[in-house]
Amino acid sequence: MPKKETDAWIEKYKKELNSFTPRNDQAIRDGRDKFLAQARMIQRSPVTLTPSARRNKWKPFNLLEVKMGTLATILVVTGLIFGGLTGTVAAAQDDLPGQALYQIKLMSESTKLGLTQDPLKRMDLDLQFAMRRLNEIKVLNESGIEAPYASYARFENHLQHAIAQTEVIDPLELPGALLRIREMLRTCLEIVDTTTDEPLQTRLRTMLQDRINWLDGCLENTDCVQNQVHKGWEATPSFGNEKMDREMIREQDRIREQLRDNLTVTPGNGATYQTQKPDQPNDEPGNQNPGAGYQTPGPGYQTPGPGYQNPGPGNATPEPGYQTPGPGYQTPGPGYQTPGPGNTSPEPRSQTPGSGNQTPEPGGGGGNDKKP
Amino acid sequence: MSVITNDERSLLERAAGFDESALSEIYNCHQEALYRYAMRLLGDQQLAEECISETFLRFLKALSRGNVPQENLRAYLFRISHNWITDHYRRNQNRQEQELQENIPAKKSLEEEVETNLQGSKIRDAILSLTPEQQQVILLKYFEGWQNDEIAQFIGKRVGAVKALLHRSLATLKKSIKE
Repeated sequence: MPKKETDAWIEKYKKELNSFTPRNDQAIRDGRDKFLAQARMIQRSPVTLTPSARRNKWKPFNLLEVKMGTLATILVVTGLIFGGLTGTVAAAQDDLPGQALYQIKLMSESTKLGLTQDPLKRMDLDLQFAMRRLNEIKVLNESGIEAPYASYARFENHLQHAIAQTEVIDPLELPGALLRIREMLRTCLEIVDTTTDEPLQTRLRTMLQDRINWLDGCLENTDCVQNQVHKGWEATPSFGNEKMDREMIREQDRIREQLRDNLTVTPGNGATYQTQKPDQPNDEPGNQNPGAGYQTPGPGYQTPGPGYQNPGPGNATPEPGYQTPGPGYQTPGPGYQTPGPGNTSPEPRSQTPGSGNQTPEPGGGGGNDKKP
Repeated sequence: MSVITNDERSLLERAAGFDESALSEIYNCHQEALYRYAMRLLGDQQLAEECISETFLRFLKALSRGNVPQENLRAYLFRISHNWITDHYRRNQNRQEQELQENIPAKKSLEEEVETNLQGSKIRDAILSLTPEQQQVILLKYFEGWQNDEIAQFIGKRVGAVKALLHRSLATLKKSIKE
């Protein structure tokens, strides 16, 4: 085919194939930013793209890791011996805190997490279990039973554990993982009851909103993730460490009981204050329902020391520094009276992050100066 | 531009050290041509964006492994893009075949789907009916304006072989369009 003829022939079709919208400036900017963010992430892990494959520290339980296959075999055999185990675990899945098989449900979840080695899968499992805890809280609250503190604590632990996994996952998977966590948190925020000022619910909303804000910042600048996850939460009790968790809950129960013993039972609004219903779920040994005025300890909870002052009955108004925690939160009106005497001001966690908040924020410590 | 220039070598050396200004320069320099190339073959803006993103990510991964391109960077990036596009169509084809086997749908639905994907462009249909190598030479030569020696480097053949390939590709393309 002569060149001129070819050119004329192809020109005829060029227009048709070139009839598309040019790439817009925004798409170019977004693409370049994403490219540079990926470059930064890859640069941070110059040895290998899979951190889990690196052996950069001594692993005392490495043998256990190697023998995981054997452990799984033992578990299977044990399961066969105790034939009803599988059925029991399956039956426990719908149980709520306080019900007979609820501990079995928690144990099956812990086992699942323990047997999962891949950080990304662990993160997904933690998110899944956090969502379960939140649904349990919702079901209990909707049926008029106040969800126990332990459910809130477990929800938060799963959540923090999930975010902590972002420190060790493949850097290339990081943006996707952060997006999944943020999506899940937004779903949680929709589930949380916004019609009540109950301290646990308020604190939950505040915590969720804080985490979402932090994730928004991290998605804009993924550089901050590793430093902030590490620095911000290293002071918290071990994630998923049930023993420490239980100790924390028991400690809180002791304080609550002391408060209850010292206080008048009549609440501020004149209604009868019932500390625990007989049929209320009792999730942990010795764990009683904290009641409406109960201050929830977060992961950064510190046992009140000698300087701890029991808030008096007269302290019925929010502290001056208190700010509305989230979009859905209704600020108490002028007639608002907190339900329990002696513990009526919004808890420190409800305050603006960085103003004496003891809960380590994702941004690091009590302050949020590390946030992007 | 058949061999790597000094400027490009210097740019690649900086990029290998993950110098952000060098990486930005590479992105700015090649994104538009890669987008055009992807749009012509994919006919879908979202897919084209995905293709560009994956192309540059693979480039970064290569840099992180110490595999700095020793050839013309443009040819290198285009090859990554083309591989991604070929994989995309292969994946789609497998999926469609699987769906056909599972659901036994009417033949029309497959045709409709293909038509939707390619936005009914006759020339695109014709180009996609060529072999991957023929597609590359046609698009690079007549739509991107590459020289024969550059295409030769891109597909790893001699210039004479490229000319022959171009001739055969055009003949097939013309025949395909007439049909």
